[in-house]
Amino acid sequence: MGSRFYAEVLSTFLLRTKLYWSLLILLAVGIITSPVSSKGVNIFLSTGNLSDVLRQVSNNGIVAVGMTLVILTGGIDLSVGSIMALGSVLCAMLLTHDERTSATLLAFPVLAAVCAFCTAWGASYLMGLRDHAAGKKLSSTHRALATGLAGLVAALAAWWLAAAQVQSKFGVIGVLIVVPAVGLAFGWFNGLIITKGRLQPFIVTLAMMVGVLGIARVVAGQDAAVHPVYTGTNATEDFDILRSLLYRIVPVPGLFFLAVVVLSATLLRVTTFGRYVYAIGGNEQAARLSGVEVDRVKIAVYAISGFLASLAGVLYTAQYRQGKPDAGVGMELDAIAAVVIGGTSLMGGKGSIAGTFVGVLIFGFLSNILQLNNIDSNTQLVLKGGIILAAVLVQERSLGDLLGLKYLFSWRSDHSIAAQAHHDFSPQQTGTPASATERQLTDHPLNKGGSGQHLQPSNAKLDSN
Amino acid sequence: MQGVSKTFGKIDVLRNVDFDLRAGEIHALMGENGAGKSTLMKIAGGIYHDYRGEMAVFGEPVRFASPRDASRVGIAVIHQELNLVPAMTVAENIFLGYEKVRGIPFLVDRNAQARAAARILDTLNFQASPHAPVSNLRIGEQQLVEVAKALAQNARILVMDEPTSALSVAEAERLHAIIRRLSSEGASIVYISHRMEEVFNLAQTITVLRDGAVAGSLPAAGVSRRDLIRLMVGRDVQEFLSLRSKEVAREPDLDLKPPVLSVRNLWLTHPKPTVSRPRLVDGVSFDVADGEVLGLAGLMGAGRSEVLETIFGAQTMASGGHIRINGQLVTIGSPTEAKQAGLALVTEDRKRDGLVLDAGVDFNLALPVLKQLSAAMFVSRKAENDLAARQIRSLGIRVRSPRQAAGTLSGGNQQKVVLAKWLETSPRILLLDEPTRGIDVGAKAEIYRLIQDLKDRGLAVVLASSELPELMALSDRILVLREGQPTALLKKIEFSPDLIMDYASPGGAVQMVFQGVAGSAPEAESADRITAGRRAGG
Repeated sequence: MGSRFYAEVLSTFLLRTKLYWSLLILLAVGIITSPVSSKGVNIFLSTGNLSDVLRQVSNNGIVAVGMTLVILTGGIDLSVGSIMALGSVLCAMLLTHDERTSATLLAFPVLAAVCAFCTAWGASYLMGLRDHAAGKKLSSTHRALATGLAGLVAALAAWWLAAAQVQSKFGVIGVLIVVPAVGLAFGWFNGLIITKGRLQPFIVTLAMMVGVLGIARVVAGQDAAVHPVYTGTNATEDFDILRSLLYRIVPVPGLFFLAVVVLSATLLRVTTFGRYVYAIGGNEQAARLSGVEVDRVKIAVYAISGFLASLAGVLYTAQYRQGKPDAGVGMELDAIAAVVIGGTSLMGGKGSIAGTFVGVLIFGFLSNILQLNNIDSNTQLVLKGGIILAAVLVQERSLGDLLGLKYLFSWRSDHSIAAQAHHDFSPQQTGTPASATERQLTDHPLNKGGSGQHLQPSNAKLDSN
Repeated sequence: MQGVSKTFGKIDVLRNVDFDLRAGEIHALMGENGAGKSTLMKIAGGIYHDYRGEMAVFGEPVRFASPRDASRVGIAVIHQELNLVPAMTVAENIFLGYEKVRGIPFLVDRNAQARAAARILDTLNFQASPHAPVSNLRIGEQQLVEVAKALAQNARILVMDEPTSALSVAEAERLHAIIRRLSSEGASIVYISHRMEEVFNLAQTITVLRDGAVAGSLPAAGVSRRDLIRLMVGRDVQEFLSLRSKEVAREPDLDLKPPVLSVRNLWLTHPKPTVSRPRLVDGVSFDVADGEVLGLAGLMGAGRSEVLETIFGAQTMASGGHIRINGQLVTIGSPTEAKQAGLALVTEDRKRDGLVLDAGVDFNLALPVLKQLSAAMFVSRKAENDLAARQIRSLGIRVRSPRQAAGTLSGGNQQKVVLAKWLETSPRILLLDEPTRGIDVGAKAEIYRLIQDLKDRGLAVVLASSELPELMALSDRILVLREGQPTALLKKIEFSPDLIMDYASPGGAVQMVFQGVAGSAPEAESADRITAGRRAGG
């Protein structure tokens, strides 16, 4: 007990909440530097500004959530920007045309395929349940026939419904179903190539990024770099819902973002799927040998990423009243930056949606503060780069390390705090136990600098053998 | 080398080893797997530097900080796994790290290198173009490139770690001729090998290591094969003898019991097939019954792990054979299917294949049974905590908290976590691959007790181990493998280290008549399964 006990408690607390400290510091900086309006209101803190930030970060946030899942498995998805742009182009064209276009040509078959696949999968799952309950198995031909039939029916129904929608131009519900389905299909394709083709995610999604950008441009047409959407004149009025402010404070895109955050955090924390994601990122071979269907989980993760990217595409169209093939340029890098600022390890296995949420907010507030202070946009980029580096450095180092606390109190070498603080994979805990440190030191480029190495007790490496 | 000791963690790998190598001598270093041969030579080669003891080269005391230091005084080590860059040419590999430069530094003089390489290759009677990429060469030729590399650095002491393990007889002969010539020209050679004939043919002196200590160092002339085997394995057998004799007394008649797991003609493709060894595992057949432990014995590279992995569907290369569980023919294409069939595999390398090291013990324990712990995808935290508490108690896993990261546990406790997570799947057949590798004596004893327990509870166990005493104490029968093929199936009363070593070593005795390529019977061929290349981990 005594001062050392409190020091440990304090340090544990700081380690666990480290993620939020950078956000709080940034907010403090924002409040202090913010200009004040003529009525004496701090503009940074005004509800208008805060709700604007939420609106601005929504797109990047939704994409970053998908990216978090991918990165947690140890992969990367570079194609999200292009898929988002394709989503915005499809969305704009479906909204504004009442005849068959290149957009329907791409979207309908893909939609039909996705519906067929999902229905077939669901049917097969239900049949499995039924078999289990009845205690006997349907023959494999019967089963294939039944699932195939269900899929075919679903595909035809989806096509017919979508085609019926075209007559009256697509409404908001229509695009919210069709466009994400297309993104899902592209993401699924990413995952399929990565797992079955045994290729690096980096290169597969890079190729997809280039290819889908091309598809987006082809769909948009040579002469039409931008497809404007004017609700009320060339598109249905109700599409405006996606850019409105609820109760004059809450932006609808922000709601989408928050919903995606909550759903995916739930998915990661309490479901088997979430566990598998962490297990694959932590040790893919161990997961595979434990009977985890690694390939399926990975495919699902890329599909979700594609789905969310194209959902962001719909919101982009609503926000900027246009669909354009170049909308997503650089998007993937923003998303990766937010994920990494949120403390998710690029090696996989460690991180959280909460971290990404904070990372996205840090990113958003940063731009907001720079804009409020009228900093020229090129200088903004330079500052952003520096601040991303600083933020990541804070996330990767333990706080004690940064503040030199470790030298003030001689810590027990068995890492008891670190081990406790480590259990739920929250990203802010970098006081890693022996072997984790060891792995990080060798694996993580940021750790090659070595400033963390001297903190390791000399027997750390031996302990873990 | 005088009084050299080395520890990995709490495990003594080398204890006070004295090793003298005379000029121009071929000195064989022998011992079981894990006896410390490679470790000793890695110290000599400057790879490990945190050892105790003295080393002197040509009378000069030395202490190397890096392999470069070692090569500077003329020591070259050729490791079992060759250290060549496949995409680079022969000449580039020979001079890797010691490039000939001309004028400006960094400007490699390719022509000079090629000429020098050709000259060295010539002295080895090795007709290969210095410009050929190493990946085009066969293993035996690559070995010669390694020798050439050592010569290029003017090595006077050459350490070769099992150089012939991947070579055909002709290639090995050629290498031996070169070794003899080098030795006659004054070079000293340390030759590590399991193959007795080679050692008798080549070496003037033989040193045997056992459990990290010198078991004996004697002139090769006048030593018998039997003596050598005794030196290599004649240790702590008595430690387990009491346990064993009890077992022998109540040995059940296993032949009467129906097998739970029955494997016929199991084979697995070799990634780099050679004429002498076209398959990694070939024609392996065995039965295991409830409450039986079948041991798999064999030297390093005999294919023990591969047998277990192939059965478990964890191997990525094409494989085949008949696997019956309770008499039912099954196809196991993936670990998931193996798990469903009631199999569990505790892998050799728990860190690489067994545990998510950064995740908690509870996370690791729940991983294989997550589906059973959850309702409609949602994991029950309570069920998970109960499971963790139960397994930690029943196996005596020492943790501060169930959430402690698995990577922070000691080796023995990590191994218990891996065992526990598989026991939770209620397997009928347990495949254990080196379950006590790298863990301390206390934990070993606990694992032994656990295996006995599981056996008494009626599990069928297949145990692969390189430690003969362990294998003999725990197994009811032992299948001996040599280069992927079974050579003997021994009953408990027949167990003896000498006999097992004899069946395991190349050129030794053969009890079984090997049937040739799998599926010589037509009906066997039809049911062969091929698992398409599902590679694990990038």
